[in-house]
Amino acid sequence: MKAPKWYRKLEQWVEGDARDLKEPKAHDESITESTRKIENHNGPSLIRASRSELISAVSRISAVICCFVLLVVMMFTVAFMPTTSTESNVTMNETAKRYIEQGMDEVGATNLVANIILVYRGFDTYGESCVLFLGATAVIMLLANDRKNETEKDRAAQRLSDKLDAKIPNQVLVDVTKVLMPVLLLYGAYILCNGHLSPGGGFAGGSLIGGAMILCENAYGVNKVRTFFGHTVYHAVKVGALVFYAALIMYTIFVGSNGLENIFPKGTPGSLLSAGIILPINIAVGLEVACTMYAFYTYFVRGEL
Amino acid sequence: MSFLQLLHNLDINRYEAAAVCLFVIGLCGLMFNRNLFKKIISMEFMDAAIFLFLTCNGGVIGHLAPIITDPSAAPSIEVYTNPLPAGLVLTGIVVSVSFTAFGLALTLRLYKKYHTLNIDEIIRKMKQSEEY
Repeated sequence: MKAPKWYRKLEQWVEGDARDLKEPKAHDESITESTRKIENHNGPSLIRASRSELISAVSRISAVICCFVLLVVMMFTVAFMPTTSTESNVTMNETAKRYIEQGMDEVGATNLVANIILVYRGFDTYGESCVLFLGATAVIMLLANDRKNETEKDRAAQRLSDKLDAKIPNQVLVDVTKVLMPVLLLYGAYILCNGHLSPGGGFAGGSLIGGAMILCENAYGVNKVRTFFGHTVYHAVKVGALVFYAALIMYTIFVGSNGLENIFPKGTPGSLLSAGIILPINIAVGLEVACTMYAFYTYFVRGEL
Repeated sequence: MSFLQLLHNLDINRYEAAAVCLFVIGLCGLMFNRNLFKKIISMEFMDAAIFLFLTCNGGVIGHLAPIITDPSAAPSIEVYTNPLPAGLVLTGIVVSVSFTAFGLALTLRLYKKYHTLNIDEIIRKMKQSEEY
């Protein structure tokens, strides 16, 4: 009797991993040779292969069962959870009440989310900025052009592609960039400076400015961007923004815990110059996010700023 | 609780149910894909599921977004939704972006060295270069 198609497919899937190990690709002579060596070294190959096959099959099947059990358990949990999205929402407790009813008086911004992430939980957001900084640093470490990471061939290919880009400019991209670039920069700056009044803030505005810079790099080539945003400017802006942010947060914590008077006025809620430290922090965060976005892009593409 | 009651509750909490499904899809992708790039995309799925879960838990249908439009009137919890989950999700999104960039950079370096994205092949080549 012939097994049905789905059964053979399932069998193939379950055994797929072990089969790959058992039959290395024909063109790769060195792998075959060394695999045989390992097998001889560790004992009879037949027993080892069947054991690894068994382990692989059992682990694959148990993984599927685990996923399914997890799905069922979490669905049960959701079914027994109190109903959300209605008036009886349990998350509307005294924490939310305090933030909503006194947040504007205590901090001065009409955007309550900005109040929370930049003042009440400002230290937490500072840690988040540090995570972003660390991410950019790790990407630079891994992808920067150094002698381990780049061969002469890569460099020649990069040079050729740069030369071709300079010789044949992409006219549609250049024209669109001429129109879009000022709008993007202006809108980014608007979102950045109105973070305490409307949705947005440092992270959204910074991403927009970073996107505008990536567009400029694509349309006019990297040399154009290097005239105003090179290595020195990048490091100065990034570190400067982070240090400025840290200083502001430390000052606010110190003043708040000692009951001193804050030199940043709260102002009238709803006006542009209000809400104390939120506006300067938003600008610092926005600059850092813009730098990070552009650095991510340019290091992934060419390995240098 | 009867089965019908269970289904009814799931329908009421349908956003959470969708988040759970998305999370399990991401987990399956993380476990069963051999391709490192697909593994990172699955991780993004799981991130999105967590964000969806947090956001829909904080919201109340019919309430306004937590931005006070009229500063002269005293804000009340009856009008605005909870602003705390929005702040938490914002934090999570930024951390997830950093994590994705870091993971992709590591993947790119591995690809440059071993010329494959398959995790088994990479481990095999790594062991070979160590032992022989």
